[in-house]
This record gives sequence, structure tokens and C-alpha cells, in this order.
Amino acid sequence: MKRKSYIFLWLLVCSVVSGASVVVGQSTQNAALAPPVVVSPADKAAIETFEKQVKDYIGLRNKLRANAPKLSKDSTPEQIHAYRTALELSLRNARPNAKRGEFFRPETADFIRRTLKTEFQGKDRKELREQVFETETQGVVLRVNYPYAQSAELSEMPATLLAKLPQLPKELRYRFVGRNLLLVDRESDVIIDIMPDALP
Amino acid sequence: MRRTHTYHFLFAFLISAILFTPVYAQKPDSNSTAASKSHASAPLKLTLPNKEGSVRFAVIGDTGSGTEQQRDVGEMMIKYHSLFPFEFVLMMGDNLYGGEAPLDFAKKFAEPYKALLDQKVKFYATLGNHDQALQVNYTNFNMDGKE
Repeated sequence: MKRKSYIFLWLLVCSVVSGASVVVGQSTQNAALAPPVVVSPADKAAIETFEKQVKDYIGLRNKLRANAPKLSKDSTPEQIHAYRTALELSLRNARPNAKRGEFFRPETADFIRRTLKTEFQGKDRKELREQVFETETQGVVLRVNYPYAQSAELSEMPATLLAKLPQLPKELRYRFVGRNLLLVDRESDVIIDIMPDALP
Repeated sequence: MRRTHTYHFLFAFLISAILFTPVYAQKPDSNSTAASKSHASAPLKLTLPNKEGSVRFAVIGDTGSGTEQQRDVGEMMIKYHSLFPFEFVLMMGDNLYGGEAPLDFAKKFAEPYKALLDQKVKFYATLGNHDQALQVNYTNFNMDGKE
């Protein structure tokens, strides 16, 4: 009888250990370190160019805002709407030749695609895609220098993903629409640039 | 001894069950509307202390859908306000899903909480990832133009 007791005790220990190892395995799988992206001198140059373009855009934007009527902190929805529309128009007029690929140049786009592909593999990639595709964005028209459709849902931008992309000032943000990565002006919602097939 | 074996087995089973059971996030299902309706019609029961001199406030989040469910919650808040007169409401973000035209502000905020706004209950919002930056300037969100 004593032997049987040991067998049960052994089974109990095995059960706990195997269960714990599965749980630990699951939690570490997500955090499994993917091989770090190799940032070549060409990548560095591409990121620097991107950051400079962003800085220039912010400079232009601030100039336009300074010349526009101020928006009070106690505004009505109508006043907010009027301000957004005015900002949108002035941004469009200030960049009449804006086109796709202006910020996401081939070398920058290549770095971003490579980073996303390397950093998000296996389960992480599946989760990222699920998170992004959860949003109903089918049929949303994307056009550089025009706002992202007001009525369209905005997709989640996982923090883990944002940490991998070139950093942006608070006036701009990234958005995914399907596999496309957008660079968007936060106040006017104007699409600054579009990068197709960004999501792995 | 047999009883001891049974306990060992049960304990092992319990531990395994705890370790292997996945955790599911609650997702709204087809019964959620019916459930919210039945809650809305249930008699109000207040379990909060409601002491004299207390700071009373409500917290809401992910609200700006403009749906029937949002209006139901708004009605419940009004009912509870009569029992528990909270002075302000904290909004945890995603205040307006989708469009943010003037009509959206009405449908997804001003109308569902009209009775509270009329009673001078203040709403203090923060931005969620679905919110546009200019919401910080909306008077009824009391964000003082800051994020």
C-alpha cells in the first residue's frame, strides 16, 4: 500500500511539473527572442532621411497651425470639425505634389518590412495579423494628402509593433489598414504616406 | 489508504485543471442585449458606502459606439445617480468610435448622457487608441486641450 501511495505522489509531482512547463513554455514562446534585425549603414541612412522628412513636415505643419485660427479648449463639435477641415485643406494646399512613397522611400520601406518580418514570427505574427485584421477596413479609400475616412474604424497598433518602427513625434501616428501601413497626421487625419504590403 | 489515494488523484487533477485551463476573455454574445435589458429593469441595489462627505464618481470606458447598449448603460447611470449622486464621471478612452463629425458627438456622447449633463455632472475623458486628437478640445470632455 505504501508503494501505491508513492506512485500517486509521483504522478502528482509529474502532473504539476509538466503542467508548469507547458505554461512557462507558452509564456516564453511569445517573448522568444527573434534574431535581431541587422541595421546596416544603408538602413541607418534611410531612417535618418525618414526622420528628417518627418521633422520638416512638422515644421511646415506648425507654421500652418500658427497662422490658422486657434481652437479653444472649450470648443463645440462644430468648431472642432471646422478646425479639422481647415487644417486638412491647408496641409493639402501646402503639399500639392504629395505622393505615395515620399516618406516611405524604397530603402525605408525595405527596412520596415524586414524589421516586421524578422521581429514577428510564428505565433507573434499570427497574433499581430489577427489584431490588425480584426478591424473592418475593407473598402476604405486610401489617398495620400486626403483624410482617412472618418466613418471607418481605426485598427489597433500593438505597442510591441510600434516599438520596432522608426519613432514619430506626437503629431503623427502609424495606422494599419489591411496590410498597408499609413503615416497619418493626428489632428487632421490626413494621410501623409502609404506603404503597401507592410504587414508580413 | 484508499481515501488518501483518492485525495492525491483529486489534487493532481485539480492542479492539472488549473494549469491547463485556458483563460477566455468575455466576449459579447447574442444574449448580452437581453442581459443588459434585464439588468436595466432590475430593482436598483446600492452596495457602496455612500457616506456623507465622500467623493463620489463613476468610471466608464469604451463607450462611444452610439448603440442601444450605450444608451442602456446611460439610463442605468442616471438611475444610479439618483441613489448615489456622483459628481463626475471618468472616461477611460475610446469615447467616439468611427466618425467624429458633430452628429457623432451628439449620438455617441451628448444624447446618451444628456440627463447627467443637464444635472451638471462633469465628464473627464482621456483618449483611447480609437479617438481623434482634437477631442481634447471638446468642452464636455474637460481635457483642457491636453492629452
